[in-house]
Amino acid sequence: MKYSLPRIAFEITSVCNLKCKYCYNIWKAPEAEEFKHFNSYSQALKTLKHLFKVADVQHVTFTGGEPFLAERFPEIVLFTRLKNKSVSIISNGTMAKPEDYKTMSDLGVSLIEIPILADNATQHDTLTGIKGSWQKVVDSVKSIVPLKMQLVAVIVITKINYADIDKTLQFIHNQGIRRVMLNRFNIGGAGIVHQDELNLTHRELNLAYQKASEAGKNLGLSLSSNVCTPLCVVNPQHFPNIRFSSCSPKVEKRPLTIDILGNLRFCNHSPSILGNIFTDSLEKMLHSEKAQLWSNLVPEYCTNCELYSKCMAGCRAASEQLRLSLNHVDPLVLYKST
Amino acid sequence: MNKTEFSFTLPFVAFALAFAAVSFMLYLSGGKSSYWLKKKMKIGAIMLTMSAASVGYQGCITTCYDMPAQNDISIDNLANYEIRVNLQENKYITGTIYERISTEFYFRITDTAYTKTFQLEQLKADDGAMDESSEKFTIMLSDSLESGIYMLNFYDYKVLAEDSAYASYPSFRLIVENNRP
Repeated sequence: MKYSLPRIAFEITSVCNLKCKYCYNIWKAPEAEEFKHFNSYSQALKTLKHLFKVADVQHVTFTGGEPFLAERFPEIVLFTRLKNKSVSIISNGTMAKPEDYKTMSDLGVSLIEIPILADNATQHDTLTGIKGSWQKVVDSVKSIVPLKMQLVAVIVITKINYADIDKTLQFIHNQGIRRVMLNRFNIGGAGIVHQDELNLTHRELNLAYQKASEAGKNLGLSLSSNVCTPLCVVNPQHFPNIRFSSCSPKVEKRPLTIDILGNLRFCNHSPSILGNIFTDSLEKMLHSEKAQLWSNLVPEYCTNCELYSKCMAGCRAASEQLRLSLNHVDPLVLYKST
Repeated sequence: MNKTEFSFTLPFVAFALAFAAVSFMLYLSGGKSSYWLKKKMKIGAIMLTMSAASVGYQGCITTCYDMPAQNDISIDNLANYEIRVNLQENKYITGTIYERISTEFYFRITDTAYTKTFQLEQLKADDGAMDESSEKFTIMLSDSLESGIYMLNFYDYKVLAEDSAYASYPSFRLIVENNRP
């Protein structure tokens, strides 16, 4: 009998053309210098075939790296769709051509996420590390908006762009986008190197959400804050126009991530490998002591906190990225409050 | 095989053969021929339309960097993305709309070629109002449906029988058994 994994994030390549300061990819972390990049059509196909053989997967999110740099990416998407899986893509919006987006839409890709970090090239390109990336994103948006495929804009909220978040939302609205994901900077990967430049104080983060909530209401945007944020830092009730979410304690309902080599992780932010789908059973990996620890271990900082069942200590994958244990609360909690 | 089923299968087989041939040509080029790649994508897209592979995501999971699609229509008790109903035992199909943003939904049951409409009705929320993020719904199938294969299509606007049956929402293969005397 197949193991039920409703939703999988599939890291199809580690290659990317941008140098985003906030990038959480585990291979961008300072100690990952020896990392061997992956980008292989045959390996990706082999892993997906095996995954669909051992697990009942309903949805695949292609991520990277930059998926549109993956070798023979359209064929991988087609293969996945022909296996009757729904598909979404997390892209940086700078590599695909208009005809590539059209192909994705024709193949029934349901949703694509693209970062729009500011209403101007200066701020956006500072964050992505590559000049001209903002203009490419704007051009991509023009190609995607008329298609059936849903477009979600992503703002990574950092010290560099938080003050102008209302202007960014207005800009996004003007492009014809109605759905925005507000992801606060979550330390990890390249973000570890740039943390002093990007980290927000608690006050600044709350101010950003305040501005975003008001702008979202005025513009009729659908806003969500998906990176789990500790409830002792941000109280969602103060921002009624933003939908906040937190990690599920159930392992199957976590954003499980597999790379093309078959390595399974708790999420695309977590560096901890639970096992490999070619050598380990999903049952064994997802019910291992390591996996259970994530659900059962309450960090000391959160002991007796009545919000814990909703908050789950924020993002503990960020703690892992800093080589801290799962007993450590989200690093954001201990960052400056003002 | 009934007539409806046959009219669906024959073109599909033809496209599948063309798909295999084009894939082989692309393989011979080492995956590098943009000409054969375009052909493969085009035929693949047509096959997906014909097989009505689900576009939506069946269920709602919160993730950090990843969003579910809006107006995401999920059907309960799907078996291999097919709905099988024996009208003598049960004539109800239940499901949920996740991340609902539209206020009005319609469903239409057509033949597999999307040319003939057998049932067309507004989709009503079980609690009477389409006003929550997730809304459960129930479809009561018409007793007049004969045994055979149909398509169940969804729309977020008022659709008329003469309108094109193609919808931007997932269509489901509906296999009906009706052995009424």
